[in-house]
Amino acid sequence: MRCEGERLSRRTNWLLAANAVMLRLEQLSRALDRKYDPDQPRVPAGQPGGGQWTSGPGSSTVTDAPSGAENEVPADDLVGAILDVAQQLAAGRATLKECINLCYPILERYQPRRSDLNEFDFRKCLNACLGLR
Amino acid sequence: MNIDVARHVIRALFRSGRELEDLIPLLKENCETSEYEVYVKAIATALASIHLEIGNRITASHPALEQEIESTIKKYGRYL
Repeated sequence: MRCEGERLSRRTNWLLAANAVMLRLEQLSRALDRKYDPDQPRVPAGQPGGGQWTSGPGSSTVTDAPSGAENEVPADDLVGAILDVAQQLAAGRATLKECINLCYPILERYQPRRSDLNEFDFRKCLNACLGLR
Repeated sequence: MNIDVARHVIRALFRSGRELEDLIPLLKENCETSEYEVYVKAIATALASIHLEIGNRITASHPALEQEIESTIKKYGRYL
């Protein structure tokens, strides 16, 4: 009886964690879809703020990032959120496949070429999810 | 394994991983979504093997390397 209760409790925790993962993955998917628009105008070279994103032709408003990004979770926060979920999954003894499914979006973040940061964060996520660190 | 050899191996792991990771945007641009999902997860699985089977074993033997890797990547963006 006690074993059954523990099993149900673990199952509930697992479902809660899985829901949290799905929510974060959806947010990530939306962020990736919206963040880069090759057609979004930029301030022409030679002008103040040249090359930066702007909200439209003739607009003086310079934005820090491509349109839509302002409402999204910043990349660092997203990694933090994924790591939080990874730690929750670790408590439920997640499998390697579950952890890979949780952590792989980290590898999709834009990084400068030759950067090791995504790989490092991915490794950190796996270790957290598997309860190894 | 002495710590210099350990550093050399860790660099090789990240270098191999970068080669695989660099494929991700290429695949995203050139594959159907369902096909891309299969490949990105396969790449993630390969990277997981690299770091769990080799990287973790090395950092377990040389715990000081863990902090060294983190601080170097945070400072320079890669493990030099």
